Amino acid sequence: MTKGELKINTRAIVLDILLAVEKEDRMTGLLIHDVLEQYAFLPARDRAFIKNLAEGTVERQITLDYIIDRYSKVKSGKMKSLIRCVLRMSVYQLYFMSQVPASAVCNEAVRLVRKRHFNNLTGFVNGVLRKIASEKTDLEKIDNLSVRFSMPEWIVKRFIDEAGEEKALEMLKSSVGTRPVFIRTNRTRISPEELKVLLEDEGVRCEPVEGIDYAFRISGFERLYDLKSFRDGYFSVQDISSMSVAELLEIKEGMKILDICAAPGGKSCHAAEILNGSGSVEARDISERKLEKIEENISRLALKNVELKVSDATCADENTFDSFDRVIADLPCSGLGVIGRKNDLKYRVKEEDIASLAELQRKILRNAVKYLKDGGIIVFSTCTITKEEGSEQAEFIEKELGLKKLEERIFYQSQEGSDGFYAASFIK
Amino acid sequence: MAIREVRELGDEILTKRSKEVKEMTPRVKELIDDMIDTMYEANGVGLAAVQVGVLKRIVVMDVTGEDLIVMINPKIVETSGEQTGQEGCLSVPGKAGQVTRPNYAKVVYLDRDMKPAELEGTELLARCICHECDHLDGKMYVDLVEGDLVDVHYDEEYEEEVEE
Repeated sequence: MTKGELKINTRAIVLDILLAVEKEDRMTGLLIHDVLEQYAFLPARDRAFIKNLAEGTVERQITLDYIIDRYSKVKSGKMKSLIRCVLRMSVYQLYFMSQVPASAVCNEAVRLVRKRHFNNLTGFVNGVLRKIASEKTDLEKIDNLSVRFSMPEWIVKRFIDEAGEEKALEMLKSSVGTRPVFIRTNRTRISPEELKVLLEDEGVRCEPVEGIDYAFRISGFERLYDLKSFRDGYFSVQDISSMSVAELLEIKEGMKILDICAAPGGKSCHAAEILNGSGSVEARDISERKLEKIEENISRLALKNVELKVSDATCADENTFDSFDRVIADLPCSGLGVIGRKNDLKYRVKEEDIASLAELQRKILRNAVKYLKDGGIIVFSTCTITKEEGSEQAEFIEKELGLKKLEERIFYQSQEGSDGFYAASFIK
Repeated sequence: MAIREVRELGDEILTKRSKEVKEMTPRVKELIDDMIDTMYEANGVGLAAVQVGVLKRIVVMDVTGEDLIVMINPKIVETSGEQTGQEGCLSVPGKAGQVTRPNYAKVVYLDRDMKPAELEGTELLARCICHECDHLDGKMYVDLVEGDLVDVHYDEEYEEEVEE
């Protein structure tokens, strides 16, 4: 008998993803997502293998290149793109996927290289991989933190400067491997207790989160969309740090709330849930496409008090000055707090971007405070950990814009905890 | 150690009943070894002796890649449940079809030392036990297929050994 399955070489699919990442400069996450859509008919095990191998190889790129360069005369930077990608994904399997036997990794790598017509390089690939397989280095013992955690040098330095060595190490640890998933109960539809029962019935592990009674940490599911409780709008995925935005807003029923950079809408929806059908949330973002994402969430959560509006936050909309009780300013930033969730972000963001992002934030903040009624509260937040995009902006809001700071929350990302995040509230 | 030719659908022998093995002989031993090689070489998960042209009640199986089972004179003594899924056959290359089988099967047989043994299987293993035992009675899965046989594309190259 044969299994009668369509035989697809999962490693060849991963190789194509890696080559596309090098060539097209597209976001890895989106690329992997698109490819998995194409191969929706594959068994879950194969899809998981493709996702883990592609994401992991990108995430550990610096570490993998370091290992390859120790055993190869030709340095990874000088190799043909195809050979570099094959070696990276193979070394990833050798080091991080213990269930794959080393001989299979080497054989499959050689097959891939031969299939792509690099017959003359099969010996080289085989030789390098067999050496690497036979003398594994203990990664924990690598002193260079950039190499050990596959993090660009400048970000390692930033983490240490901002948070001190001990916290920085924890931040680095949390940047590789899987991140915890936190959810927010849609309390307009269900109580947290009932949601917990629903999720557990669907086989999902559901742990309470300290300090937020409507949040849970969930695990043990494959795809969010497979969960009926998710499709039915009983909860949203949101990091606990980001839940603090709506908390800091001190929302009361009937209020008029503005979210000036709303997509994908997590904070707008959270605010709308707290309003519980009363008042209104105006969710603005720069393009129709960005608003579509919010629209999806609103309809899934069945929220009726959210309005969408295309609007560029850097341009002042005089018609709505002094008209909101609360304003959410969750602004574009370097994203150093969410590196663990977006595996190629760390290679894309450049240190010199920080100053221009901070400038952009100030430009938006100048407008944002104008939409607020006197006595209203604004929350400024970013998903990063730099002073320029955090506490220094708070100073700017107090000194230059004349608001009074109420509360500030700084989150540094940790393995079992939240992402890195900054949020502060101010009263006009 | 040798790869034997696999008989394909249309070959009369596949419709015949295989005969009980009465004793272990060097020839039977060699046949079993060749069946194992032939099955692995063709990426199969099971093979009956009749598929290499020998009408003896012998089956080799390995549904995980790590659990080789050799069954002589197997007899299914219990089945239960139901599973519907794709299956294929080395005697019908490049094709597969939907077949409903028991989800559990218990089989008694003689092992390579002609000692009595029994095996219980669920899912793929149960499917394979039923599929191979059918071969011993001259039955092919194509007669059980619900709907049409579909084409499956196997990797055009088979595994080439890489020199150590």
